Amino acid sequence: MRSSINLASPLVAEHHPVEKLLVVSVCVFVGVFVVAGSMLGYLVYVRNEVSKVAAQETSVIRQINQNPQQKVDALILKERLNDITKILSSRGDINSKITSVVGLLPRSVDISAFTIDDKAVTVELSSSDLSVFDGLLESDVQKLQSQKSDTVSKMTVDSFQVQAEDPRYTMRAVFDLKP
Amino acid sequence: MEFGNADFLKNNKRLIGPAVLFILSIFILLRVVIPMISSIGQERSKLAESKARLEKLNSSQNAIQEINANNITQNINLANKAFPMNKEIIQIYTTVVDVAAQNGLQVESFSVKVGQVYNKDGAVTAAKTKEGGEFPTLDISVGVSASDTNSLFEFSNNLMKALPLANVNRLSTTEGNGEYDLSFYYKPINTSILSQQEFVTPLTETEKQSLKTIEEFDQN
Repeated sequence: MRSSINLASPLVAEHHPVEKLLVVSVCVFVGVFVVAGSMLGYLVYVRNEVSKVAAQETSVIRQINQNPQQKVDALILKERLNDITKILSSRGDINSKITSVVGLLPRSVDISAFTIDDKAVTVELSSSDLSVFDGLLESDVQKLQSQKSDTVSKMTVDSFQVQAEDPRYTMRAVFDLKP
Repeated sequence: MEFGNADFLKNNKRLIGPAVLFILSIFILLRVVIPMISSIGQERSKLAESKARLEKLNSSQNAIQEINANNITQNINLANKAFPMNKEIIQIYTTVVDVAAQNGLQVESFSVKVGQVYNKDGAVTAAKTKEGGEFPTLDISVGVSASDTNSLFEFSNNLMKALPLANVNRLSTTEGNGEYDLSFYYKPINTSILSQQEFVTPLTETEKQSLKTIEEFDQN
């Protein structure tokens, strides 16, 4: 059969370029419309959530404000304890410094004067036995170095006196404290 | 020319539909979708803020109930005894004398550096706080006599465990006499500022521990 008289249409229909353009434009429009619609829906949902949370906030604030004194009391106690915590942690531990310095001194020596502030301890020691001071300087002070004291940074002997009539020795020493 | 346009439209009228759809799509994109992106962002951040605020408010409500459930008046009184709102000279004197008596000491002298008594602003000035200190203090010098040096040391130790809270700045002992430079802490409280605060946080473990510590000091 001659092809020129074959009236059957071809299997694949050829689309006109304008029709393709129409299909593409419809698809783009629908796509944009769906995206816009979805976003609008989501925006409405989020706004609704914001309103719900705001309503809950108002309710909680109302409950808190039903007894304002309770809130003020809680705030007062909270602030007071916060300040007390700071005070307790910032107070200088003078007693442990006293213990550290007194612990270095021989028991047989008399402490005739003792002064401590936040920088140094000044002690005046007296004894009728000279060897006590010898022991202090020869061995007891060496403890400072060997124990790496975390309280005393330096020891200075300020003066050493002896009363000739009644043999009594007095030493004045300054222990510089670590900050 | 008009004939030319009409002719063009007649020949290309099938393009009108796609063109209109494209224009509408671009319009929706520019006027609806893009502005909505920023709106959604704003609303989402607003929602996140609101949720965080609600959470804080709920936490505040729980904290208020929890703090109030445990003898709040008693605890406030105790906290104010430890850290008074004013220069409680009588209370300080009583404490010093009591602690001295517990250690077998006799109070020989008691002097107070009163300093600034009134400030219109109600603010803590640098003159009132000790150097490097955060709180104003009332500085006191106490002279005591004792039979032995150890009780003088013990006195300073016990003063640090008494209420109101104090710090021993300087101790000087000579032949059974002791001189102490003490600082007692105090701080006025402004309830109107406090009542404006929106949120209350629960007591921390450290603050609960501090409450226990001052309870122990109070029982001594």
